[in-house]
Amino acid sequence: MQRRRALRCADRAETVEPSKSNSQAKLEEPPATVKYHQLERLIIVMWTLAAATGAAAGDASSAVDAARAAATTTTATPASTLRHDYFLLGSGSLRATDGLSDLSQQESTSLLALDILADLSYREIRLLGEYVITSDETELERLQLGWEPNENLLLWLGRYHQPSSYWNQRYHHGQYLQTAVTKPRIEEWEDTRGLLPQHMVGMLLESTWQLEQRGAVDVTLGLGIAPALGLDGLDPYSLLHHHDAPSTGAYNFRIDYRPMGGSNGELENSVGLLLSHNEIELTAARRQLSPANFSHIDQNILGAYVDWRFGSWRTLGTIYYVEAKFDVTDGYEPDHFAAAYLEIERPLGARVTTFSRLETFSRTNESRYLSFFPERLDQRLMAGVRWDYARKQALKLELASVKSPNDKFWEMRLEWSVAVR
Amino acid sequence: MERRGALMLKRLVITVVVGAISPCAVAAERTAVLIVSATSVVTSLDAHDARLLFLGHPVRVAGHVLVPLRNLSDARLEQVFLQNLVAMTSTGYDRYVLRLALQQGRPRPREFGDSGALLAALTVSPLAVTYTWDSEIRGNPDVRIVRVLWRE
Repeated sequence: MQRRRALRCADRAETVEPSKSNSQAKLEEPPATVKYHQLERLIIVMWTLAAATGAAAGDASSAVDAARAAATTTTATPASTLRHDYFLLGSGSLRATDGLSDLSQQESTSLLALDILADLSYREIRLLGEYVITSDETELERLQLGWEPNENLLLWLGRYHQPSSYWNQRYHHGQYLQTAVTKPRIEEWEDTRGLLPQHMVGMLLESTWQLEQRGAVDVTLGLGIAPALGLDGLDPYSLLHHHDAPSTGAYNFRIDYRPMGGSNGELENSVGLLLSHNEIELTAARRQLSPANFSHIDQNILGAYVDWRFGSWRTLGTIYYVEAKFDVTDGYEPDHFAAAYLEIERPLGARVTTFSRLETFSRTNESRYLSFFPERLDQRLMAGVRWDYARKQALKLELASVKSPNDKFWEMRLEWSVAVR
Repeated sequence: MERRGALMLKRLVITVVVGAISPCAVAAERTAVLIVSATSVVTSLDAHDARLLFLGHPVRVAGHVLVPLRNLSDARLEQVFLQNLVAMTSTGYDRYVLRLALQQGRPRPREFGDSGALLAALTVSPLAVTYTWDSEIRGNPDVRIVRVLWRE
């Protein structure tokens, strides 16, 4: 019997819209963007309906079970297997803070979000899509066409999350799936003023090498189009509407080692190295409205992560060293900074989990690259508790002390999250 | 008269004892089994592959990807599934399969709340694998046991 492809973080790609907050940039946004948004919505609605309809029609079981199983339908014979699935991840959160800086005020005090995921698989072919609707925006986050010739190799084409962020590869947009309310600042998506490129359009290769009796090594490589730097931060390339900067390359790589042993250790523990090279161009709006003395940024990222369980304790930490080389007229202007975080989680019984995370940045004030992101922070220390009070529903409470270059404040967050189906 | 009373008392004691023992005897015979269709290509499934299958990972037999069907018809069986097959808490299992679906677009195990519907779905799919009490399938020629999961 053949077996196993282990879990790896696949990817996901987030959608990004053209610069939104700058009024002038808005005026320059082509009217066709509206149509693109409608097209996005149409695609995801049709996809969801197709999955639901197929599930109901294809199930020969009782109506009750058809409803239960609606999201996952299978038509299987030894010759072919058509499967599809969809589910929703919803969340609602409240936030209170005493801070006044850009960082503390960047977010809404309340946020509703719905993440819709649908997939189809037929033999070696996969199709995966993800659409996010929040009270602030709607976006087609991922759309990937995959080919899986065997359990140890999977090739995707489309829009994906770059693989050198372990956190984003593990949780993507699933608020219910991550233990805490917040994600580390360095892992934020571009449209929430993220500091690093996260969404690419191109090719993603996932492969696994099984090590006899010792676990497995996963290698993930992404080759795609990098985001551009706009007036509101990074602006990723989208399948349906994209930034107006030249298309430049992004190369992202992650290698994981997953040891074998323990009841869950084989599947849950991993350590790895992260490498990225992103060629970041400037959008037309930034070139026009905020002239700079450089044409683009060559960004190199080196990182490492660990996600390990010691008894009932879990530690999840990542460290990044980011080098940014600004292409100025007479050469390159070097810049760098580092970021790290460590999260510790400890279950208290089957339904309650406590967690705490410390994240820190170096050269927050000195880094030229970070100066393009007013919401940067020096350090954040948070702690919280998660209560899985019902199946696929959780309540989380998180308290944080945040220090930014020009502010120091507290914030409290309360979140309800759910997985439907 | 006394003899008759003693006889009645004896019968009462026997009834009580038998009544008390019977459920234990039934419970002792309770066995959770991993089953496939009688026409399935699967002849056996080791514990590791069975776990991976129900966690949402692809498990192939003779080049075909198996399809897990989750049995939610019985709360005790659900406990056996979580403790003896996937070795996770209920919350941990739900988050795991959701995460895998989110990461790699892998369809999650299909869920059934009715054992009749579950067996109907199993018997029409030669690639399907599920679990149930052996008492549910005793004498059923359409299914085959490939592994004993747990015995009470």
